[in-house]
Amino acid sequence: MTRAALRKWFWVHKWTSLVCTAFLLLICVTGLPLVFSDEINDALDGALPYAAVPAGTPRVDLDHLITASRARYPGETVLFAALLDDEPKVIVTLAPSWAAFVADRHAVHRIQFDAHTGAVLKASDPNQDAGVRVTDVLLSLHRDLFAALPGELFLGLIGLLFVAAIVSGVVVYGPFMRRLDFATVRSERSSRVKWLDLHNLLGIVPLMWMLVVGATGVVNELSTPLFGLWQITDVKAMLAPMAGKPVPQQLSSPQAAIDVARAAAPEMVPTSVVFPGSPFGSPYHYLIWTKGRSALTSRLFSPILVDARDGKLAAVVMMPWYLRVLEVSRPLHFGDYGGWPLKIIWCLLDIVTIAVLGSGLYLWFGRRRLPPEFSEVEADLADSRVSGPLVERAAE
Amino acid sequence: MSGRADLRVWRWPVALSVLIAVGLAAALLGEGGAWWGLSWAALAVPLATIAVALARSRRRARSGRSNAGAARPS
Repeated sequence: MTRAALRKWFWVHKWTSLVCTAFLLLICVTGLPLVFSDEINDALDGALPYAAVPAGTPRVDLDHLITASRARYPGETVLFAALLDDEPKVIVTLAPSWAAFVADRHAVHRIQFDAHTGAVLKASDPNQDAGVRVTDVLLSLHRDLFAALPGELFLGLIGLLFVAAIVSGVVVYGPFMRRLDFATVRSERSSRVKWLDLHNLLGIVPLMWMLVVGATGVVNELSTPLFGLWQITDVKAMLAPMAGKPVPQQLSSPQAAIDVARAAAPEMVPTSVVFPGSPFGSPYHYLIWTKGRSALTSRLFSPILVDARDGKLAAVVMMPWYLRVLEVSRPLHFGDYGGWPLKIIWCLLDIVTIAVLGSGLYLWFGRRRLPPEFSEVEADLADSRVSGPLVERAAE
Repeated sequence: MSGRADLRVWRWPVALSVLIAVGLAAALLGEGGAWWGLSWAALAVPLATIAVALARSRRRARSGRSNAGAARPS
């Protein structure tokens, strides 16, 4: 590498880092509790505990829970039923109508049922549910600075800058470490030298993790446009024949629809049901989301359409490759796929990243344009080139 | 000549990056406890590396002089 090249890469590293550091610090700090958002939500939920049942107890028929939901809020429309598989819980969501839900997504009743006994664990009013969860606030900050889609795209850009900062940092790392053993931190020297060494150490060791989490963060920020693309291409084509048709007065059995979906895709597990009438679905189909059984495929969702007029299977929908990429990006970003030790590791690596960012800021705020070792590093580069390039004076 | 220096500089970073990649993939692609254990072990190595480096750095600060792994004289 020539001196000019080193300076150019150093310039890239400095400026990509500087532009993204403030936002990245916010992202890393909000990300820390978000690793445990499921646990935090459960702890603050206030729902009744599950009934203790013998292993192998079958789950209650979904039709029974839907009937109970309709009885509790007569006249309301059932929108979704979520079938959790890692906990014995079914969540049924109702609203005055689909139109009311689209107008205000918070105007819903949400009932949590014990999946084994059918008991109501928690039922919330629209008024009650108006309280926003602390994890939702953190997620909004983390993902879009409370600015919805523009915020998502902006932070996606910041994520790209982060990736550029990491790559340029790796390029610059080489010349700086030519004369130092790996992981040396010269804390007996000045504070600046110590923090430069720390910055290099804390940056290079978890490099692959920062790259993965940063890149998957960028992909996640694209989820709205990616789903939008799917909507206006495949989904529109699929739903076109159904548009404008009326929602049937009598819906076929939801439980039977799930059974049909199971029979159609035995390797998949139904995870939620969207009832007919959704503006994003079909006026007269149940849209059943299914997922795979293995660690990876449990992140890959495939929708199955069952006709609600006669209970027959209508279609098993294939998801496009770009949505599969998005789905795989989720576990790799959240760190929630390897038990709680993985979550702890995720938090520790997040803290290391915060230290890299902070030490980078500290180094930048120093008086000099270039770090203290730069002249030695540049002299090094001149010495190492056998073919004798122009030797400039080392900058001060 | 510079090839050997490059090897020395990049040996540990590359090894750690491979370990992290293996650790991230193991829990995602593998089924069952053994794969999770492999994942945690692989991902713990970079954290342990940092801990050891910080401990050594503290020793250097206390003793006030360079250790065996210090900058080479030019």
